[in-house]
Amino acid sequence: MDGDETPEEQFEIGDSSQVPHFDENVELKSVFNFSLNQRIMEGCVVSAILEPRGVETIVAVSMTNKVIIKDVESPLNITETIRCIAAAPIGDGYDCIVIGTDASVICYDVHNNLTVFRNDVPDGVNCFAYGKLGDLEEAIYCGGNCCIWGFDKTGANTYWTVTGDQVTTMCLSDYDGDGETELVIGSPDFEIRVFKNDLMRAELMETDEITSLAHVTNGCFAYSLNNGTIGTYVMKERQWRIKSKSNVSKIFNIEEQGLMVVVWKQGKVDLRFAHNGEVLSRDSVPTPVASATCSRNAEDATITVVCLDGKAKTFKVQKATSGAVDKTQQMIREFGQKKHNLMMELSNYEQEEQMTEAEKAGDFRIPADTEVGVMFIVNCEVQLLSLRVEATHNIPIRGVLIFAEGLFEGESYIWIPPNEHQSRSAIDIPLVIDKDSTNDLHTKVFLGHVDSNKLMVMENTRILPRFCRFTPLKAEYSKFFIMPTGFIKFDINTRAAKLSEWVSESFTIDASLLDMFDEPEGEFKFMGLRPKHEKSLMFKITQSDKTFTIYHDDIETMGALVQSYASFFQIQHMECVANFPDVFKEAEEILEELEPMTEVRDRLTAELQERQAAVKEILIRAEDSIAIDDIPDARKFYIRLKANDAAARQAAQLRWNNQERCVKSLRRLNKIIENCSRLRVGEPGRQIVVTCRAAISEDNKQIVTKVLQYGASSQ
Amino acid sequence: MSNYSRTDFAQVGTTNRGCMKVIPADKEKDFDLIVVGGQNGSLICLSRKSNDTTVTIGIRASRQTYIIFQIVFKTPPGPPIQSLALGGSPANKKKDKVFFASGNQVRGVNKKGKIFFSMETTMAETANRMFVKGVDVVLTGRKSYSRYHDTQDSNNYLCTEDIHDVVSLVYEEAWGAREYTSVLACGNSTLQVIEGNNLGYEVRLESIPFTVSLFMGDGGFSKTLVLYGTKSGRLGLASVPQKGGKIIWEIQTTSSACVTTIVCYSVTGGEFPDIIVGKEDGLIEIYVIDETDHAHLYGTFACEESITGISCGHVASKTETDIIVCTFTGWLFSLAKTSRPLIENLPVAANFSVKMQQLRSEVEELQSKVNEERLRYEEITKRQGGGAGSTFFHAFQVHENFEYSPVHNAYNLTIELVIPIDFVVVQSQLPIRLMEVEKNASVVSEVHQDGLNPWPLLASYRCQANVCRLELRVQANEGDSGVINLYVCPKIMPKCAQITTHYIKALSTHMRAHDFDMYRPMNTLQFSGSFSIAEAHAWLHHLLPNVPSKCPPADTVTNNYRSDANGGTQLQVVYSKGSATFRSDCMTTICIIRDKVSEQTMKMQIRVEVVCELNQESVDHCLKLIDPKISAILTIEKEKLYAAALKNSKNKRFRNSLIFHPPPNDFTNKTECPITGTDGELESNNDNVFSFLSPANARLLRDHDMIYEKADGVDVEESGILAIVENLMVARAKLSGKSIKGKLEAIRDLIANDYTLEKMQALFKMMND
Repeated sequence: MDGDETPEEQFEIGDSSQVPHFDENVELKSVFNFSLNQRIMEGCVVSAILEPRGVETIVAVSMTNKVIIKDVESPLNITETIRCIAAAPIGDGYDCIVIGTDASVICYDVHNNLTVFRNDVPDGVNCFAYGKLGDLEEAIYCGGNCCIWGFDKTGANTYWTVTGDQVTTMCLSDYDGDGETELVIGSPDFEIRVFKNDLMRAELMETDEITSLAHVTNGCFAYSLNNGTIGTYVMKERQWRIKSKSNVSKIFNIEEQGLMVVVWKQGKVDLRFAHNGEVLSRDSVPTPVASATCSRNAEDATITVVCLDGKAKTFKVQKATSGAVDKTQQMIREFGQKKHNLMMELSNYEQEEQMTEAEKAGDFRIPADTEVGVMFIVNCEVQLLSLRVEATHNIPIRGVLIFAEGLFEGESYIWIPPNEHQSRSAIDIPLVIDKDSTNDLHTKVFLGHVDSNKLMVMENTRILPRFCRFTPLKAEYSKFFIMPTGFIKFDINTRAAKLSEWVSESFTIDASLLDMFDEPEGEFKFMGLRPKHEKSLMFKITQSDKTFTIYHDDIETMGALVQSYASFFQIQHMECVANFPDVFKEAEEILEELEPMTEVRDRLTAELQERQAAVKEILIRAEDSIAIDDIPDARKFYIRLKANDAAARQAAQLRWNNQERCVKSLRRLNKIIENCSRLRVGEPGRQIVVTCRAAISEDNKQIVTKVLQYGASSQ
Repeated sequence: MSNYSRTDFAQVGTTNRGCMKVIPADKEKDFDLIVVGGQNGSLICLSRKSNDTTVTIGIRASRQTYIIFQIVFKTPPGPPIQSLALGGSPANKKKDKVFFASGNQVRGVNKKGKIFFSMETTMAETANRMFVKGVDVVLTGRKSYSRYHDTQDSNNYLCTEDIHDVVSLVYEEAWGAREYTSVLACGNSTLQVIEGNNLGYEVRLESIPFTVSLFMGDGGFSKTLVLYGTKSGRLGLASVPQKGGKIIWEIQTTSSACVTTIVCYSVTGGEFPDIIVGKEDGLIEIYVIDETDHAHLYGTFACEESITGISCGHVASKTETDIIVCTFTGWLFSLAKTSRPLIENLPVAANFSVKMQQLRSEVEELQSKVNEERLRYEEITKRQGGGAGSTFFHAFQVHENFEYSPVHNAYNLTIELVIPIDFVVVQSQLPIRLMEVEKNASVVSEVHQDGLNPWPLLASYRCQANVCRLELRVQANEGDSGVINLYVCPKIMPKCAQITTHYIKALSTHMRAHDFDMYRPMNTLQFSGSFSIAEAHAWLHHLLPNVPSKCPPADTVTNNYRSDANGGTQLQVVYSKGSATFRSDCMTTICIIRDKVSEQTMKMQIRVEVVCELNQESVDHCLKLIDPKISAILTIEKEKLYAAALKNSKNKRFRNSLIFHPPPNDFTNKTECPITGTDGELESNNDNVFSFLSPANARLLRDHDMIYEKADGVDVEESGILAIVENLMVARAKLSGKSIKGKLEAIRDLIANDYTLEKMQALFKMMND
């Protein structure tokens, strides 16, 4: 059984009545193979109908940066570097190809051989989604760096918003089952964000970079992560997830049958149930996968997997032919295995009874009531959070294994003493965490005598609170408290009655200290722990004007605090006054230099084009000289060509550098706007994005920092 | 073998190699019987019921069977059954008696389960392998070989190497003038032909044979042909007539895992019996034999567990032959042609659901029993309290294999349990690299070495559901030695783990060889002093793989080794009391030996004199040996670049004046490249691109896909080639006391940019001056 499932990681919805019954007797069948005869760029394959009443064909991007169409000889050349490709049904009964490059979006009509539109997108496009978002018209959504653009079929910009990080994948799906589609985006910062129109509706923290997203059914979408996890969310909750060592290339859904197809980069193709991830059928392609595409013909859905070397294989989902026998065999084997495992366990108990005490002693056994305590400990002196593992009866700890997704470099952390004889019965494992996220720590503690090679394993699960990097300040360590300059101030919502509840869930804190957070007025100081130990945190509740002030210098952590606070008390709407002088100053500076930079860019572009024209001209003249056997001239031209080519390359480099700087500034500005938007909850947050964008495009830059500070309603 | 399908029969307990056989039935109308000897010492005989009606057997008794099989007999448990063979009285040709060896006893059982024969062996070791021929029983232990004629101890032979398997020539005419003739598979890569009490001669092989079997079941046409399977997954045929044998052919099987079983039986319906090979990684391969006695691959079948036994017979069908397979964890299944009507394969299809129900309730019953036990255990824990009593510990067997594989230039490590594995932690004293193994689907996570973690490698492998077998591959640097610990934790409650330990030897890439080329430029390292031969042997044991832990009983021992990783350098070790001499054409090897042996002598406080004679010519020689490897890698990388560039411009019209240069690589990632910017106008179709390409370029373009396939995974950094050359540089500097400052960078630079053998040799020479 070569299953990829790890039941430990698999979360099922308890309510079985929700699970519809689908036919299990289906399989993937390979229909035909072909080759595109080019090496294909990863992720750049779509299927499209390129002509009126045409048949669906495959469009891909070659390694050499050309758009190639299956069975069409001549490729389409794009001068800019292509990053992604999509098909959008905006032609008259056929699809146009949408190409995302590192600087623009190009919509190309193959049938009429014309460019429908070409829009500059500074910083480039990473992914596309086409469809209807909420109450907006159908549009092409482009995920860029920290921002999302939407263009309608004429190329008019209909949508713009900012987000916390690069957008690597998107899909349109009805996230909450309200009948309207939301935009679901995935980013390298481990987060899935859901936008309803241009308002951020939810943030879902995952355990690694999001690599792909796919709509499954109403209220359900599937996701995949860089660490090999796939799973689905149904009605805002994660339904199941499965981790394997391979990486996902693409996920498709076959909605009518409740199935999904998962294509893995290493070449595996699985057919799974969408509601529990169970594998129904497997197949594979021989070489690493570039991407895959699904025909949109619902009657007869085919999945075409294109490999990096251009070879492609098309699969069809059909009723299984030989499945019945295999299934019974498999079931028998599963039962046999289960029975065997139980028998083994039982016989072990039997053996145990026959053993004498002396034999047991020879095994270096540990006392039966040995317990292992696992707790969080703060060492204030060095400002460090540790996990303390302690065994009773002085039993040596021979090793600790912690499984926690997304907390360590891999999925686990292992501690083993430098040699067996240094094993102690209590150890501290430092936790240096720079992400604000809740995490489950599954610890396995190996216990046993130093000379024994048989160890007991004690299992334990602890939840690491989201803001475990802060600990209440004790009087004797007040030297570690550095008063932050940044703060936000907001009115206390009536819902947020008991602050202690939120604090106890989000921080590592002694239960004895909790009560003080419910006092109507006061200052609560926290010190920071490594790695950000110089950043302190303070809450201040003022009863006179019923305001709550949070002092902290990191704007992102502040945003996370606000969002956590609001979601804990179910606050839908919250405005605040923010003060982050450094951030605002940076925003101002960027706004200042934005205009000159654009000018320089235009100048450099012109220069580059000039140089390129010169190169082309000399090249032709040189070749012509050869054609008429004028070798001395040809030599002259080639020498000139060399000089001009160098100049052109230099110009390109200059422009590229400038572009890079320009894009970086823009990215940073978008990020700042997003950060400030996250200091508010609900509509006020959205308003900040909208107002700032309007202000920048209307060249009304001076109000931007005001908006960031006091909110959009201050205008 | 898409036309073969697996049908599970039963799950018996864990089994040893070769402990399952099919006994042919007496009468036509009966099915053949299967006998299995388990590690619990119990011999079980199963058969399909003629009319398959009843199945239910009580829980305890039913441990072994369901669906269509019933137990014919079962012997009480005892010491593990090590080997099992079929025999019969010489008068009647039928082999229907079962002989099995367990502990220091060999017993014979007839088809009814009655013990008719019992014999105490006189061997000091437990018998691992057994061969039965008429009234002769041949047994081998780790090092000893004994033959009993009619229970009388008749022949004995003590081998200096580990014995992995044994067969005897069954036809006495094949012995000729020899006495009772047997063939042993030995740990020094030889097949030893034993004639009576003496070693007749050896057949030298390239790798260590692990399994031997008579060709076609009787030794083939000449009755002297023996098939052998090696630890590195090779299959060969050797002829062992009087006075010297030879290898007739040797082929690589489809994987490099150890061959655990070879059976000859006609299953494909060909003229000659086919060869069925079972391997340690769960592959079953069928080879057909042609008129010239050569084997051709017919098909393969993969199961997930290591194979311990294969046998054939009419077990489930009277018309078709089944291949019966037994795995380490005790799965007994058949491979049968799927062309057979389904109903025959699954005679119970109709009342399948009933059976399923029975199975389910059985499992449920077991589950509740186990729960009871768990509860009881918990109560005991509570009642005792206060540190009294001890925890319950599950005993589980870890079946492991740790072997250097020259093909991968790495150690293959397989772990097999009888219960599913939850996770495995790998802890290493020496820096090792974990390599990707395609078959291994578990999630790997490494912890880096830092202030808190002193271990150069710590990694966890979290297994998927129902994985009982895990395959790892680790690579160590030549010269590093140390211990690797594995913490193996199965999915069982209460949770427990076992630590197993493996050693990596400093000269791990060296393999035993038979010959030594004296004409190569040689470096010599000699130790002399007051040490015994046993101590010298112990140094060797620490240095080189596959050195037996006990010193062979000789005054002077000579061993030859070969290292494939660096192109085929050699090493000769000669040691006797007070002297140990190492000769190698590779300075790296000499340097490592000097360091490690000095370390040992220091530790044991033995005063030794070290004489080291270096031959500078050996450096050129070593560089020449490694040159083909470096060149091959560099060529493939270059070809890949050229092929990509040619492909890129394939659809372009070449102007005949335009000399073609591949575009520099770094430009593809940047925004604009002025030259390729002009693609648009050069664009057109030209089917006949080959007409104006040079033959070399045309070939590159034509083989584009193949080149990419070849280049996949080829990398100078990862191939370890750099390390070999660098180590040579370092070793020479160390032995001759020179500085290597800046030289390592020069090597890197040379390989990356402009490598030729001459330049490399010049670089080494330069350093010498």
